[in-house]
Amino acid sequence: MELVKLLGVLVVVVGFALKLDSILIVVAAAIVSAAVGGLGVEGLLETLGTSFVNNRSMAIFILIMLVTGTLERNGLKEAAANLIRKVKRASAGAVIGAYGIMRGIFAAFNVSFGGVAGFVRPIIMPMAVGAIEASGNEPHEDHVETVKGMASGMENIAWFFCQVLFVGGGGALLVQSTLKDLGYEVDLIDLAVVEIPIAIFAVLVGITYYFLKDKRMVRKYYGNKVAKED
Amino acid sequence: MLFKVNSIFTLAFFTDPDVTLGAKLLEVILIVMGLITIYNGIKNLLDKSNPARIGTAVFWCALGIVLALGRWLPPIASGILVIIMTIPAIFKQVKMGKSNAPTPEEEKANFDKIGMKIFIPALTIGVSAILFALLTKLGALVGIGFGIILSIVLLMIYSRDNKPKVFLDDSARLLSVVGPLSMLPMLLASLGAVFTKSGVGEVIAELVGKVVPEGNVNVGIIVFAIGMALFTMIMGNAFAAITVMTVGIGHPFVLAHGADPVVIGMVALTAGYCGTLCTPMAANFNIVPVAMLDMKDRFGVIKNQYIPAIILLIFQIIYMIILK
Amino acid sequence: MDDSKLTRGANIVVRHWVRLKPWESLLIVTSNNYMREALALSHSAQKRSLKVNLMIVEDVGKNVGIYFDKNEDAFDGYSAIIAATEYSLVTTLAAKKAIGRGKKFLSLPLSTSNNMSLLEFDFLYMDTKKSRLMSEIIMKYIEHSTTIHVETPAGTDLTFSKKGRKPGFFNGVVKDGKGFSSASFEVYVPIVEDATEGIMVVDGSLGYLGKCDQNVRLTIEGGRITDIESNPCGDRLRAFIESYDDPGLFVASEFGIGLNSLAKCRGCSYIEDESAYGTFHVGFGRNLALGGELEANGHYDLVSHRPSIYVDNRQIMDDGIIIIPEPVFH
Repeated sequence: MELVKLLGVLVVVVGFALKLDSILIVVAAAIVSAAVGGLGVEGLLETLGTSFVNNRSMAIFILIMLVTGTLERNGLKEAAANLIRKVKRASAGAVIGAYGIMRGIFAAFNVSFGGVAGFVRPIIMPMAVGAIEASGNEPHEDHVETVKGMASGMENIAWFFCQVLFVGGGGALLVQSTLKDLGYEVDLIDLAVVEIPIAIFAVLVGITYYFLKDKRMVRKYYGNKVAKED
Repeated sequence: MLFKVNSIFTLAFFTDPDVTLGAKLLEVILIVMGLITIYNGIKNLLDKSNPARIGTAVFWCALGIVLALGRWLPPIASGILVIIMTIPAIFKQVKMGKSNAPTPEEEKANFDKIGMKIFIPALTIGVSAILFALLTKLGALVGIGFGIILSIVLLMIYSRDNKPKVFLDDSARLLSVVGPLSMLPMLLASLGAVFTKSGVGEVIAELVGKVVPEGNVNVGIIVFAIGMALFTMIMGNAFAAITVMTVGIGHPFVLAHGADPVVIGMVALTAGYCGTLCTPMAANFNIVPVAMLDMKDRFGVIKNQYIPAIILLIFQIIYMIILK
Repeated sequence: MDDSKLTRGANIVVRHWVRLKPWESLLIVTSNNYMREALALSHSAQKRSLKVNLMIVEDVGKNVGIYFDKNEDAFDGYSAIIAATEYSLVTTLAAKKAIGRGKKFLSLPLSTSNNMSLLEFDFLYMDTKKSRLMSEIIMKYIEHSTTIHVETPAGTDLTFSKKGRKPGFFNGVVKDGKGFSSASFEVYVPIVEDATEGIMVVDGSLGYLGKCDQNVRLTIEGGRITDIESNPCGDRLRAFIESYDDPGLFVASEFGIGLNSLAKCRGCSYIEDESAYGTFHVGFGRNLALGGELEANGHYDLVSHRPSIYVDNRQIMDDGIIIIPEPVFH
């Protein structure tokens, strides 16, 4: 029965779904697949070796780390915090939107400032809550909860969809290598270009959705109280 | 003796006029990467604060050797090294020593000294990658290498404290933090090759073919994109889904009928990201923020993401259909 | 007194934590001064099962555990036990035996210091699934580590060894704790008893003694408290420990991380204090039921705020907040 050949795929899907050790899953799936596909030990090792060597460029992040750590040491996060603090804090939604744009642009150059732990929590959340207070309202608990969720959402959306614009990022390299195995040669720069409209659209969707959601919450929790101009 | 033979091959590759300059430079980059990795392995071997010195050293050194010498090693030797490096990883014997992470005070002091121009070396790498890809024949990865050199030079000009050892130790620290899981994309790519070799694609294609009419590329695209999102939701990881899905569905139902591999192959990955936005399986993105921001609702992040995710998935399907 | 809140608390314990089934027999262990809670629990349980009994122990106070050490078979004949006494029974031999036989065991220490019943506390309403998800993030790193290092802004700098020990998790839910749980929401490690080294600055709570006005600085060497800073709080703590009359109570035997975001470390209940998210605690004394090897006359916990926690040098918590221990791919 041919279906037995799918055993390796099953190992991958079930393994990840059960949150087993990722590397163990991959190795097990490779061994299972090679066994049922008739590759044999030698065939498995050769395929694994050849493919790994062909994909060495995916480890380019090792080279990039040569500067990322030192950039951090030299105050990159401080600089980013300084930059975002220049934004006019009209509303929590506006702060989140501004962060989305900044996060997206820098993600396209593979520059990161610490994600939710390092940036959203210490910098974006106080700005967003400050924006609510600046409009003369006492931040409502449920509103703040939603702002937390929206800020994390913006972080994820901007990072996911803009990081693929970085030429040499892991995602594109994996796609390039998968396609190569199937006989299609593609260029990294083309893979990045094709994502530009999607990245822009994704950030816009995030900004608009969170802006509107925030506006609705402001209306819901603070009623018709006229926001005071700053 | 073996080493001598290798070194001759090394020279032969670099002096061969048929090999492009880009390929030669990329090889140099890979050798540097291998050396950094081996440095990390040896550093850990000597680090008494690391609770698993041997396992850690075996992992990083085996990886470093494959990275640096992969071109000259027989494939079977590389395969054995790959298996060797996964063993300490699976048994959780790849650890780190005491971290020398910068303190917030140090970052603040350096920022006061350097200021906003720190963005220049940060953006240099990405810009250089684009410029090299567009303007030269050397390729984006060589551009990254050039950008890094430029970035290092700028950082050294900005501050005397940025000595070569600072860069090396900071990168070793980050490498230790990302740990063996950073190898996952490479291992998944290799797994994809094993799948292809063992004929997994044909079987999936045959199965899916019973449901999806072959030849209708648009239906194929929809199945591919939604399948990516669903598989990613189950596995919590679009990287793991993309190899299986491209081999099984993308290739036979879409690409084999003449669709553009650049559009289909790449956008399928970001279609998968829509699944990432909707699944608690992607704990780092959707659950850890709940803990980090101390949110009340354990699905507080996902609830704010699923609507954009659906919109984006539909947009990407239409985008693939139009541009195919 | 707000009895309806008490009832709601009892319902959470019976329905969501113990998840009592109609065919299960329940024993509620309590003492005279907690009859109100015991009756509320019993009332709630009787709606689910016909076999609910109360066991009233005379011997109250922190030594209540000794009875259950001497009477290992105290819980025979029941499939579920709620230990609703003043202090925890989870570390006793009887509890250990009951758990070993696959009975459901919930430790529900009711000691409070603000005239409110523990069943009326807000932290009971914590989403148990959320705390389980929080524990899962850090648990696998703790599981495979050999040393734990903790620092706090107040000056704590401690190193623990967990060689050969298994971490566990409590969120009230007996099923999530593989048969036994505690009203405290925490990841705990029965640490190696003679290996803890460093300084602990207690700035959260002194356990049973409640809130401390001053920070108390403890020196721990070879797993044992060798010095307690002398100030009013420190002196109270020393007198408390000495009152057990057992050197085992000076031994650090448990490391725990609070995972209840509704709990606040405010000194009203030691269970709430040690459960507060953003704190860590060190347990001293008996740790048998947690998986350790120390038998002693009792067990108490000291709580400190805002820990940065490293397991085998990998940071899992920063300033009291769980972080991403290891980057992964989307």
